[in-house]
Amino acid sequence: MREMKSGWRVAVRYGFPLLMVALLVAALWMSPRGAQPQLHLHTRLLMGTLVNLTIGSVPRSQADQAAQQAFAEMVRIEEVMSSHRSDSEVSRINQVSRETWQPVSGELGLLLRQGLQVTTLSQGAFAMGLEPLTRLWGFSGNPPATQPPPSADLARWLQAYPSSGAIELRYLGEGAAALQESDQSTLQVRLKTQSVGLDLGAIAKGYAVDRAVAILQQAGIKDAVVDAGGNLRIIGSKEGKPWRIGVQSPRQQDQVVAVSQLSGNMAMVTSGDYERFFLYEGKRYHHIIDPGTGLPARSGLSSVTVQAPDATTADALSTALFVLGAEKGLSLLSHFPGSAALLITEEGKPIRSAGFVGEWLSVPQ
Amino acid sequence: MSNKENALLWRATTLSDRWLILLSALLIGSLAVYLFRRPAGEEVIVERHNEIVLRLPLSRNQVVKVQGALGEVAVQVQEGRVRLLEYASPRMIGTRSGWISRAGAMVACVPCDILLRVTGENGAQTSTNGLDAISR
Repeated sequence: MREMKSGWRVAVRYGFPLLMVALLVAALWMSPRGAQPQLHLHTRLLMGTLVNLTIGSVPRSQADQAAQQAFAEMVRIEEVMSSHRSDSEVSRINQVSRETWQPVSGELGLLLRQGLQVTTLSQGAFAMGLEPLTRLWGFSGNPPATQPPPSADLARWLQAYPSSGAIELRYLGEGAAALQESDQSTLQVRLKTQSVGLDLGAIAKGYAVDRAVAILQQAGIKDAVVDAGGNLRIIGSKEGKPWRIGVQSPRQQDQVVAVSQLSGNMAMVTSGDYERFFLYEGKRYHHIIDPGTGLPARSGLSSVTVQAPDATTADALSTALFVLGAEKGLSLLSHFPGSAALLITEEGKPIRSAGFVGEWLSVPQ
Repeated sequence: MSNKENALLWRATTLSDRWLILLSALLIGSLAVYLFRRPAGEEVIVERHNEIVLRLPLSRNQVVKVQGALGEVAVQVQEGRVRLLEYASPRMIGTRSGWISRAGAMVACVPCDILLRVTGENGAQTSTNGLDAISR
């Protein structure tokens, strides 16, 4: 009896505290906060969309400061490149008479040059000179259009839109190789006809994402997601684990149909016929316009998601691939090393290019 | 545990042991509650053009109207939750987002230039389905 009593005493003296410590460790390990990395989320309404910056692995004060700098850079880019702002550089170029050479900043010139490469390689499927046409369609109008523009207006635009050389760049200095963002006087742009006007809606958001990433990196941020309305780029990881990025279902907006686990450096941009559209007489009219017809692109696709090392390229390519369709679109990708795509047909069937990182979900989440 | 065993355990422990057990249990219980509790929001911040125009406590039921870019926007707070109730927007995407309540959650009407953001002790959040972002 004495031995038994002594056993209990030892168990209570030493066993119980050990059990408590074990429970405490288990509670910390299993708790949601213990399992979740410390992420700092910053949100702004910019460029006509919700911009989210998710920053990890740094103290809150550093994340806050870096986010403010990144947002300021995106605001600056919007002020330069928006065709909806009458005081932007793009609008200034659009307001002058055609067939005249206009000076353009090095930054805008570099972006135009990058975009024109996609225009050339996509044989015009990606175009940056469609402002008069997009204004006709009115998807970004206030209120947005609910029916197509008169066919006579479309025909007039189509007739006047040049089949090539809608936007031309020339260098007055050392040439393209020497062009710097700070150059103000060595680069000029010319719009060919009145049916051409700069609209960078299919590339500028990607560029803004890239610039935001650059600013974050300058501020010492290594792990982040910059997400401008679904045009996004990741750097680093989420505390050593990949960032998990979903691809929205084209027809059920609250569901994702694929998930990509990305780390390192990767941009991911989706273009779909569900972003801005209206239904008129039973037909869907969406905002991705085919420059060859002046009408919403009908290529058999409902969405295109492009992965590329930078968001500028991914943004431009997602539009180009959507307009070109599956066969020509996948062929275009071969010109852009490191790029890959997930195409979703109008029937909901996935088509993946080689190298696309992501898992197709048989049951959408 | 039988009465006999209980009595044995009681006799086998000193007063200090019992205090230690009681305090440890309280400590563990409190920690578990604190750690497993998901942070609820404390108030909702209403922003227009990225500037705070209103702060509403989630503890008080009310409907407040703020001026958005396209007209008045009604914000409803009820039972610790908040939502965009009604506003003049072409596609009404914001209202389809429904109620939000957790710290870090947000809902926006982009055409109205209005953003609702629930504040609280945890400002970061992971989007639905454990995703960090959605390409759309």
